Amino acid sequence: MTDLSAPAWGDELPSGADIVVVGAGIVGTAIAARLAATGADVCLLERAGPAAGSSSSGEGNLLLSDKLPGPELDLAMRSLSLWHELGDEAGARIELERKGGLVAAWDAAQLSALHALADRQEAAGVAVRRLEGVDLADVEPQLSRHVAGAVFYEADSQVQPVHAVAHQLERAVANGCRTVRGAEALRWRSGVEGAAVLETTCGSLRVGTAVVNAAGPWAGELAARLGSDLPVVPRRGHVLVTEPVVSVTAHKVYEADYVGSIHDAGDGWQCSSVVESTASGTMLLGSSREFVAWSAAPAPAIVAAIAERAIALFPGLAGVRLLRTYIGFRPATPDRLPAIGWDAEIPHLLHATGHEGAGIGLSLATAEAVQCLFERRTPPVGLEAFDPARFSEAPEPTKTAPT
Amino acid sequence: MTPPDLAFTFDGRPLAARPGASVASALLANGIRTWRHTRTLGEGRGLLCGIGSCFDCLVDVRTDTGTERAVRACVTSLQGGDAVSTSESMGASRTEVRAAVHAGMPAGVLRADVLVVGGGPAGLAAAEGAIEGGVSVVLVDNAARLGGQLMRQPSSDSGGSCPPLSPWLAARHPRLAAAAELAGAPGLAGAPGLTIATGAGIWQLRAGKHCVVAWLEDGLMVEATAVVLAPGATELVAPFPGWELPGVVTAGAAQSLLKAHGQLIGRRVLVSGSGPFLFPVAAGLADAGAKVVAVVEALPARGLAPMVAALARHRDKATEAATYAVALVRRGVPVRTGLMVARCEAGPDGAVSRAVVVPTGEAGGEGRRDAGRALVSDRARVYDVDAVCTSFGFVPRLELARQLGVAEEVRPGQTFAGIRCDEGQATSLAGVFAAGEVTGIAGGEVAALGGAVAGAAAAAYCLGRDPRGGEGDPRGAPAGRRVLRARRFAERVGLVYRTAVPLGVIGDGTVVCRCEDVRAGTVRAALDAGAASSREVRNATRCGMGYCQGRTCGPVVQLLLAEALRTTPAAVGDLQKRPVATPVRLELVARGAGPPA
Ligand SMILES: Cc1cc2nc3c(=O)[nH]c(=O)nc-3n(C[C@H](O)[C@H](O)[C@H](O)COP(=O)(O)OP(=O)(O)OC[C@H]3O[C@@H](n4cnc5c(N)ncnc54)[C@H](O)[C@@H]3O)c2cc1C
Ligand code: FES
Repeated sequence: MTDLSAPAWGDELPSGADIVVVGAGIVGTAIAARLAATGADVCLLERAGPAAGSSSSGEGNLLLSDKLPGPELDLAMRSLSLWHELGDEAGARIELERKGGLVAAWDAAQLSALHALADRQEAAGVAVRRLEGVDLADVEPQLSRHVAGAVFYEADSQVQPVHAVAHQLERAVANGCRTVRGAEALRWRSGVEGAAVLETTCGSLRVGTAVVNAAGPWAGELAARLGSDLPVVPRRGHVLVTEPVVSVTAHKVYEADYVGSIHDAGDGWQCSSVVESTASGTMLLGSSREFVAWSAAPAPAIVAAIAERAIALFPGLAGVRLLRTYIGFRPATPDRLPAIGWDAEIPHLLHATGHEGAGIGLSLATAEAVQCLFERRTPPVGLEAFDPARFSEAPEPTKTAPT
Repeated sequence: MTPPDLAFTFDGRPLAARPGASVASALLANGIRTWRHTRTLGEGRGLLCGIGSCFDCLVDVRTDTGTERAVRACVTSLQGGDAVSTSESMGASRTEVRAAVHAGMPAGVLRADVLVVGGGPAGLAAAEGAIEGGVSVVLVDNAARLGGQLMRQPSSDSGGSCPPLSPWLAARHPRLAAAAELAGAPGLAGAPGLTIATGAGIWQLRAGKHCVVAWLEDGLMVEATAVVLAPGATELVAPFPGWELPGVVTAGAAQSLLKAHGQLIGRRVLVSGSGPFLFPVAAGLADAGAKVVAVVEALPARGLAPMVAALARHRDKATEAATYAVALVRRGVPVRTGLMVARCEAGPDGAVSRAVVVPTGEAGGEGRRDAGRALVSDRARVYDVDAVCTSFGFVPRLELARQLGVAEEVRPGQTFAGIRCDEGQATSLAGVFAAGEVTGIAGGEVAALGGAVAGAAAAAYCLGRDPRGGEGDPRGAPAGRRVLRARRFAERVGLVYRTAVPLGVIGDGTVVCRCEDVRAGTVRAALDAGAASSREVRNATRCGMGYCQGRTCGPVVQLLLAEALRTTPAAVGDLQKRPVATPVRLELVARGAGPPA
């Protein structure tokens, strides 16, 4: 079992800090850990608990396979190599597993689109293997025989996000980061000459360089509180957890139209099948996407659809029992790309959020980019595509929940 | 004429059992106590709760049609020719799925005015009350036979010790009696206006406008206008080193094994824990021929004084208590107070063989501890046993209530939350009524009286009548007074036993989550690292992520958290939010998209 002997976290609110990170999810803790390691004066504020938001409701995949070539894939590749470094350091604790991902196409049309994507990913440096027939059955013996073909991505990996957050938190604290639990960032305190002061539910603190908005699906709300406009809204997802099983698959397996569903902005809900095993033996079945604000009651129709599609991929799942379902909210932007960079208008405000369904995977490269911004260095991956200012320049209708 | 025995095998050994036996009772009858290995640590396990709630007794069963992996031995009935084998605690895989656990149940949709969840005293009375009120009823119970814990029925031919339900029902609920006769086996039975579905639990319950829909684990769907929630409670088992050994079971498990199957949990039994429930269990075991080496109550005699005072004011309860006392004295069973089990030790077969009992005070911080926080006592007394029954009270089963989102409360004298309801048994949601232990632990009398009121109120709701209009409470004012009196007694009892869960015996190496092999040291590390709610502990440690979804370990996590944070168990939240109330096969989930048009 995991060693959780992390130093107790939870300090008093300090009177000030150079950098105040808001949100102890995977992104906020990665940033805090990274900055603290360079000796920066960092304070991490969290209103609930570590990984209280999206970061405890994801599957923890670190994927290249679902990324479109371009800035997103570049960020994902950089992040994945950082994850593998972290995995070597953290050992079994964060359950990092290079399990490999398999994308399955149901028919010839899907397969040729998948191959076209794989060609471009391959050109960008991603290792891909096109599988059909007996080769496919060899890699994935229990997969439905109706699958026309698949592409295997050996670099796709998985991590246990809650343990990863605990690990990052421990690193941050060990390097002098102060962490305040139960502190909710409220607004700027006005009337303070020549200094930025952040008001929280635990009192106020002076901000030297920046407040980092790592508030996940609440990032839009936080930005508004700080006088900015950032179109990050919650995008709901269901996950089904089965009983531990003897063996169905050792990989992450998903339908080719999953990539499309991420970018689809339709009003209803989408569901495309994602099936994977975990270190604990249970299987995680996903995944749905819908904009319904913070609705926490599982939708029976979605739960049923996820089960149905999972069985379509792996007929053997029919007799496997469902143990629980849970709901999570992804921090979604209109173009599904993260918002990483200085706010276009509000000084002392830097955003590191909006990672939609890929925040676990992208967190480490995001933290690295944030460090580069503070140190005025050029980050390894260009940030133009992720500039938060893009939303104010070309106004796009913000996706909001039907009321 | 005795019916022929059933032939079966366990790990290849040919054995025989009485017809009607459950897999668990058949194994125990053959002296087998261990039939599961835990997934990560590979430790042996056997029976624990005996009523299908804890999923600790998983076993693999191969029949002509396939292998079922990881089924509950306590609720799976044995069939001739079954090949039973030790389970590795993992579920079905592709080639090994038998069609259905309860093949007798048709998949389909049942419609009725009122859905009653639970076939114990509260649910039975509710069904009767609703039928009397002029509406139709579907009664659902996950046990194979009606009766609940109190009136648990013998399985056919297996010689259980409980008096049959029918005369009891005939006296109280005449309309149910005939139908219950029919509901002798898992499946559907009915009488005009009443359908009984036994042997399958509800995994999902949803409320819409003027309708509730229940999905059962066997594929059946029930649609109704109103619902009465009477799912009862689960037993609170407090860990101690060795509580996970095969042979250590809940008091309720020993009782239901005896009532339903006439099977003794052991020949030399220690009954321990805290609360009035220890006595009927010990008396029942002694009467059935077990040597009960002692009844050990954690509270010291002086702590029990208010109990005596409470009994003095409730003559009926005093009479009941006296019956058990006489039974225990007659059988020479010593009753000892202020003591508790500090640890259990395994014999050569890996199951429990010794129980070490120490003064409760030593568990509460006075005792010496070794490096792993395990208790070291000079005043220990050792009992040679082949079974230990343990119980520290009950926890209302809230999972279905949570799915609906009804309001809860912690009643006076209760440690855990229950459903909040008014005198008419109405909850915070229109059309949802509740009765029995799920509204707070108060015993069978309150359950039956409350159930009758709930059933009548649900009927009135369906017919658009004011439940209090006309003749009012169907049983009239005297019933109301009896409820109040019985509740007051429950409150007094609750206050006496509330503080009796000794957490001090839990060493760092003691298992807390039996499904996921999580030890107390891991939980304490999570607490040290700042976890402040049951949910956070679950996410950090996997406590509550196993088959039982925290039914067994959830209350323990709550108690440990409450102790660490110096607050009440209710304040730290629980693990009863279960969107899937009982594990269900995915093929049925895929079917259950919604009520068919
Ligand atoms: C069903 C599902 C599956 C997913 N699967 C994957 C996957 O496989 N791989 C992957 O990479 N990603 C996945 N994701 C996405 C991923 O979970 C998120 O992108 C990521 O967790 C976002 O992390 P975060 O740190 O930005 O936000 P969060 O984890 O939500 O953290 C934000 C924190 O900020 C706190 N906070 C908010 N407002 C304030 C305030 N005003 N003051 C103080 N604190 C505040 C919150 O309490 C919270 O703890 C999935 C998401 C879902 C819903
Ligand atoms: S004991 Fe079953 S989940 Fe913990």
